[in-house]
Amino acid sequence: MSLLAAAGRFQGQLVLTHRDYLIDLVRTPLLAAVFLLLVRHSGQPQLIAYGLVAPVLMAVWSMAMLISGEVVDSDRQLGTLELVIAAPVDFARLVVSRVWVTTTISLLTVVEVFAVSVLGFGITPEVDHPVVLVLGLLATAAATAGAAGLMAALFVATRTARTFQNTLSYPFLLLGGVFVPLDRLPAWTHPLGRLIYLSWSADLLRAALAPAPVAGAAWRICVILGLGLLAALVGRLVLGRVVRMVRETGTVGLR
Amino acid sequence: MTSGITRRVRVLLWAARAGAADHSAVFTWKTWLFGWFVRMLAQVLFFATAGNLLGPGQARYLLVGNAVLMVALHGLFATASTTWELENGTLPLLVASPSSPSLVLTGRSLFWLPDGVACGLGAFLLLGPVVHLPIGLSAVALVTCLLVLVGLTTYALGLFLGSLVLTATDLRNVVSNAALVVMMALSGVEVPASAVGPVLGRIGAALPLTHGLLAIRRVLDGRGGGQVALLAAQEALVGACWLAAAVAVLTLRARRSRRDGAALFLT
Repeated sequence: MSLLAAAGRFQGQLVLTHRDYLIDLVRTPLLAAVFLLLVRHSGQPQLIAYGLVAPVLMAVWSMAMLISGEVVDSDRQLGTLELVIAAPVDFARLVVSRVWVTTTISLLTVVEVFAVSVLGFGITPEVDHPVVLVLGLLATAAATAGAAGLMAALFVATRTARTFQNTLSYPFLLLGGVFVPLDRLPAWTHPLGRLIYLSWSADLLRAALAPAPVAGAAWRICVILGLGLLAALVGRLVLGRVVRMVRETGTVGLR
Repeated sequence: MTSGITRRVRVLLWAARAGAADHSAVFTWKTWLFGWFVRMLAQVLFFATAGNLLGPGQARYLLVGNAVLMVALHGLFATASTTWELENGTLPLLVASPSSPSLVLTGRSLFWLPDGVACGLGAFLLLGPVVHLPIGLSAVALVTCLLVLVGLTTYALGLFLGSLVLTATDLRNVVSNAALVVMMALSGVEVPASAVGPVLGRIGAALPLTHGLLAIRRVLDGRGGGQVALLAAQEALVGACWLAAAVAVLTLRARRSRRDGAALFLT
């Protein structure tokens, strides 16, 4: 527990003092305004839920890739990686703790989007299924932490992955159906898109804001959690191998 | 007089060349094509598919707007790359050199322009057929010229923002990204200017991209001629104003830095 608190304090300070890390907290209200403008202009009020869910998922994903993905890499830049790896604590647990802090901060965008909707557009979002919404958001946060942990591991394991960090945004957001549901995309994209937890999250969160009953909420939440868990396990495996290798070869500061 | 201009052009070209070296250090042709370019196409496609959901004609409107936005996005990267001089430790050298630091900083990010135009044009040519957007050869030539113009005008805004955050380097991406999303809302990228109301519409008219994008839409609608030329002239005027503001701020900061000895733009 003390490890979680210490890691949380450190990561929280890092995010809040490095102002570039706040990019999504600044961008999300503006993006929410863009999406709500689009929906208002289209004259289709039934799409408001789409305009509310999209900016939140975009922010959560973006912060996971940009901040959590850099957790280990930023240690290397700060010169603390050697000390952390030399410490008796389980390195992967430390990374997971820090990733969770970032993911929790990214959920602030839910409040931001709500505020833009009410104050900027006079739309008070109607949450027809509040329990599904809350559980869906928590499951999404958990899956995001898992995906971010995998990215953090990959960014250390291979420098090539770091090169593609900026490219992990829109291709995933498109296939993840964060605004346009995956069902509306060509059929050949469905198998790929369903491997991305965002597609399940987006469908579930939109359904939670719609009056119709939510079918199969429990198993959809399980799928989101399962995909997140899978990513987390692969991330832990990769991170474990990298740490073992740099310890054995003494190349911790060199890789 | 002539030798002065030649010297300035030479400084500008050397600065551009140094910036291009930064670009080639970040990207190989493979990482650019299969990473960067694909990401740009995905963003355009993201909004174009949203158009299919929003109503008839929207997919085409959004594809055009977001393809041009890719050029603006690259123009605004000048904000970040302007601050790289401080991170690289070369800013004090620039301030100490007899050349104008503002001239060097004006040229050092020009490498984003061909990148942006390639992404914007690539989006038009590759994704245009998805929304049944026919583009003839003459339209392609005119659109390319207008994309270059939008690249230059948004570059001027990016440079201005870069001049403001020159010593607050950890704000560079926050500022440029916020500016980009504001342009998405107010410059007619996602919705027409009429959809945001008169006050925000006037703010949009003072931003680069707005008139250039409108000109491109006119060309694609087959309505060329005088109106396109007028819009292009308005776009150029807006860009020139932002460039003047950027050079003024950079010159002022360099002068102050030299006078009080900080020489790092730290004051």
